[in-house]
Amino acid sequence: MIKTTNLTKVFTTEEMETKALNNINIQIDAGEFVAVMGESGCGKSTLLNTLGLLDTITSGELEIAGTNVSHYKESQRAILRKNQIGFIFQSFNLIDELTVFENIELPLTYHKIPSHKRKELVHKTLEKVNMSHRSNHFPQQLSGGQQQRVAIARAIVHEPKLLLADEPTGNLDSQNGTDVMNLLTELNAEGSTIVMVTHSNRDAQFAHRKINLYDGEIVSSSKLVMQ
Amino acid sequence: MKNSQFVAFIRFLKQNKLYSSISIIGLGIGIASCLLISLYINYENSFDHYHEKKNRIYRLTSKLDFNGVIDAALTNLPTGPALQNDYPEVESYVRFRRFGNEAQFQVNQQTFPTPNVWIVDSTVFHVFSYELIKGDPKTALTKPHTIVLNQSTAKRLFENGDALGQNIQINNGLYEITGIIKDIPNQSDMPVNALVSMTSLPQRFMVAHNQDWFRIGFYTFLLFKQPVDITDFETKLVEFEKKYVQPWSAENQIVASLTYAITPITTLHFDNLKEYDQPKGNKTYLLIFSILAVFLLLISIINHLNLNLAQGSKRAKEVGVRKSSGAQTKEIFSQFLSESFILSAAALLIGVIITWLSLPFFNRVLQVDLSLLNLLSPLYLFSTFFIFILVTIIANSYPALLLARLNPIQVLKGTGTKGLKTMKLNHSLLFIQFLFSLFMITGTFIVQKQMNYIANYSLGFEKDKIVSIQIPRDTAIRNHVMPWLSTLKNQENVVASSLTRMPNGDNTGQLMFRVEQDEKMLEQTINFMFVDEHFLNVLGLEVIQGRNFDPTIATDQSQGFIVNQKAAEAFGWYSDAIGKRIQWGLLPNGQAENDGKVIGLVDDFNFQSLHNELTPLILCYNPRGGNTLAIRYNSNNLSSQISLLEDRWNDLAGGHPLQYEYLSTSISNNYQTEENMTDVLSYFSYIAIILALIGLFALVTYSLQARWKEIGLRKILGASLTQLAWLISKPFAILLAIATLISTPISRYVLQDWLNGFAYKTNLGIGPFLTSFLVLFGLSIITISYHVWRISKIDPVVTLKDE
Repeated sequence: MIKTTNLTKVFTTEEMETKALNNINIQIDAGEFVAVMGESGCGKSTLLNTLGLLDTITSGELEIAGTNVSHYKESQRAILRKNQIGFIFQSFNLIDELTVFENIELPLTYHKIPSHKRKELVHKTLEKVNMSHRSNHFPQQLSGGQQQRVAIARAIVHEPKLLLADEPTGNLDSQNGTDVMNLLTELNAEGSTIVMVTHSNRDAQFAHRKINLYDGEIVSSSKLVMQ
Repeated sequence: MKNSQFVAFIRFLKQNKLYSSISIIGLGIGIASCLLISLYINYENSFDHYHEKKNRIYRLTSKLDFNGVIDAALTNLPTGPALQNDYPEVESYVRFRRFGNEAQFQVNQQTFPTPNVWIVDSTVFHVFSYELIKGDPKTALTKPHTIVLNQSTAKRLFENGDALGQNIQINNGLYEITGIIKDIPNQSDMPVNALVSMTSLPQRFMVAHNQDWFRIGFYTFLLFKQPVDITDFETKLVEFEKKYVQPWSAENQIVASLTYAITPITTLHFDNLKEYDQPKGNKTYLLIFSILAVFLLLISIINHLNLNLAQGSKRAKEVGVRKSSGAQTKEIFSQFLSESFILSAAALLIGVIITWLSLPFFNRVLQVDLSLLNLLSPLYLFSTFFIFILVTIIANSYPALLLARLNPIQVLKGTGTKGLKTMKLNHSLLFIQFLFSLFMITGTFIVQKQMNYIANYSLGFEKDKIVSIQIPRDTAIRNHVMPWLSTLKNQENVVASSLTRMPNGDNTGQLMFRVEQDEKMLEQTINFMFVDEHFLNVLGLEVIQGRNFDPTIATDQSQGFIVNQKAAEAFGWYSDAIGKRIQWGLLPNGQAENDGKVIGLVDDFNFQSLHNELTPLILCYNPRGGNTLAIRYNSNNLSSQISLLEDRWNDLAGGHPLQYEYLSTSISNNYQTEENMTDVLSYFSYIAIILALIGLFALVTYSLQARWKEIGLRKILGASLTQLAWLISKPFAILLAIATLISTPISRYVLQDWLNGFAYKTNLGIGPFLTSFLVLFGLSIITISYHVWRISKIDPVVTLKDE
């Protein structure tokens, strides 16, 4: 699903260059659930953003679903994003002005999907995350856990092959956190490839594999015992 | 625009009512100002454009140098026909002569005072587009004592408006109505109520005028076969002068010259430097208005842009989410641009509504009749559409682009609105707004100060409590009225009365005099007035040397003169003005029809408007008086005096209404243009201030957004609200101070230039400049205080957590 070869990302400011990622070589197979761990500032989020094509790479190669996308233009990357990738954020990032239903529908609006089909997809997804009863609410009217479930629904509504989650439980209490992790596990079981950045060892236990980053380099990659 | 985008946008507007409405209304105000001003400019520019042959019609004017130059809008009688005769390119001509200030039309024993009656050539219907709805344009004004009325006058005179063939009596003469024309548009410098045939003028009048190339009294319009090159034709006019005028001058031993000029009728409205001209438009004021229009529109666009930027950062997260959901930059860009179109459309609608609501007011202040219907003309639709596109593109594509380009990673983490930071640019925009507002406020202050100065300036005579009455030229009425009027001065409350026109600004004439200077008689053009012996008394003027005119001294009438002090100074008479020789009605041989001596010296008084310096004045004696009676009362209740007068008048004057005017009113009419200007200026300066404050509001909002966390941190560290208020106000206070420093010398220069148009002017001082600063400063503080209130509500923990 994902293959990086000597992937390097350098942030350049006027005064200094910071190597956020240094010669990263990873391969993530379709259907895998990978947790990326490491201290703050080690490059976890940067890795996730480059894998999600939100950020460009400085050097190296990046393959997604067998296609080399290292030199894709912004417009090509936007197309790949909308077709293949779903994002889940720590702070949910729902649009306050849109209802639950409309938030979930959002990625579909960038596909040429007719309205009745969209409705169907959104309702199906709402059921999947168990939020059908809240479809007309606005984000502010929901609890944190509910908001994250809506955000996950939005990430999966267009059935992407790859789900990227950046500390999905970071803003949640442990009960809600567990619910979200269970949901992700289910999605993985249904075939989604998931890459998740997390601080939490407990969350990482849900993944098949743990990649540890330190100062932009991979220090260990270990298979976890399936739960 | 996708449905979800539209929905999100509308909900966003609703949630940010204050900003949305300020943004839309602010832009609406700018658009409205621009629309109003352009309507006005369009109005002024289309004066006398209704003539079909407007591109071929030119007005002929003459500049006379007769020991003093008179650049007159008028010409003599013979030039028009002679030009048509000599130059094949001249197709036709028409001459206009005013039928007195106001003609007294009499129909069925009733009198109708009618202004704007002209004596014209019969060619008038060929040259001008006066539309005859009854009568034959070829013959209507050929015969003597024929008259053509406009529709409203016909309706006023005859109940059924059926006037053709009827007769009107004017000053003992009977005129047959041979035609009715449609009322001509208001946008004309020559309003017309009636036209009288040129052949109605007495034969001896025509002879006298036709034989004298220096007797000017006609507005002459030439119709050419093709539009002409003005310089070319004026060269021909020089030859013309050599051929006709110079031989005549030589023959009559006159040392004088005459220079002709032509002006296209389409630009005539702004040719306001000629003497004896009709009231005209003022190009300078139009220029000022145009600059105003552009500035107000620009400022409102800038505000709109700033508010959009400030609001845009609130929507950064949405951009991030949309981008991570696969939206492309161009999709986001088009989303925000579509939103702007909706906003601009709303602003345009509001602008049109504001224009519509304020038109009656604007019309009243400027004394025009603008209509929103003018907006329906193709030119207007086009320019409005153009403004609309311009506004949308300028004000919105920039913020739309900034938003569309946001980095989704940063905005989703809550740190990424840095791309929207364009504070430096914004500060300079606000600076320009401050500058402009300061110009407007000081301008308004100074103009008002000057108007007050003029209103309170001592003219050297008592202008209050004086009423002037028009006496009809009808001899029968005069015989009734005059004996009664002469008893007036014995009445209670009447101080004095005089059969003389009062010095309201345009009741003096200029004449060639020969005046004794250094024991020689020198010719020059001097202002004069014909007055009776009561004139000085009515105005409360003091004779400081010699005596007043005396009806018992027969020689006073042609041989006695009273001069003002300015004259005594100018002629070098110092303390012995009395007995100095003055001649007028000059004959070539050194003789004169009137030859006499100065019998009195009077204090200086301003007989012209205060635009003019005081000049020498000669008062000549005319004991019979004119057609105006001036009465000075000592009562404060003038209106009750007028009604007393009116009662008696109605008994005696046989249908002639009492026509009167307060001297103080007719004097203040001299400053009507400036008064209108003051009103318009002050209203637009209110608008400029409002727009500047909106700009300030937007900018503070915007700068606060970037400093939210900083303020939270400062609060935690113990900053007081006052310190925080100063923190956010300081940059703007400094900006305002610099704007004041820069605007002051510039506006001083411009305003001094304007004041120089007045001979009597207030001094600029520093008061208006200081006040302008304080006004803007105070209003700015009020504007910022809203934000200070917001700051006071900040929970620092929340702002810090927002990272």
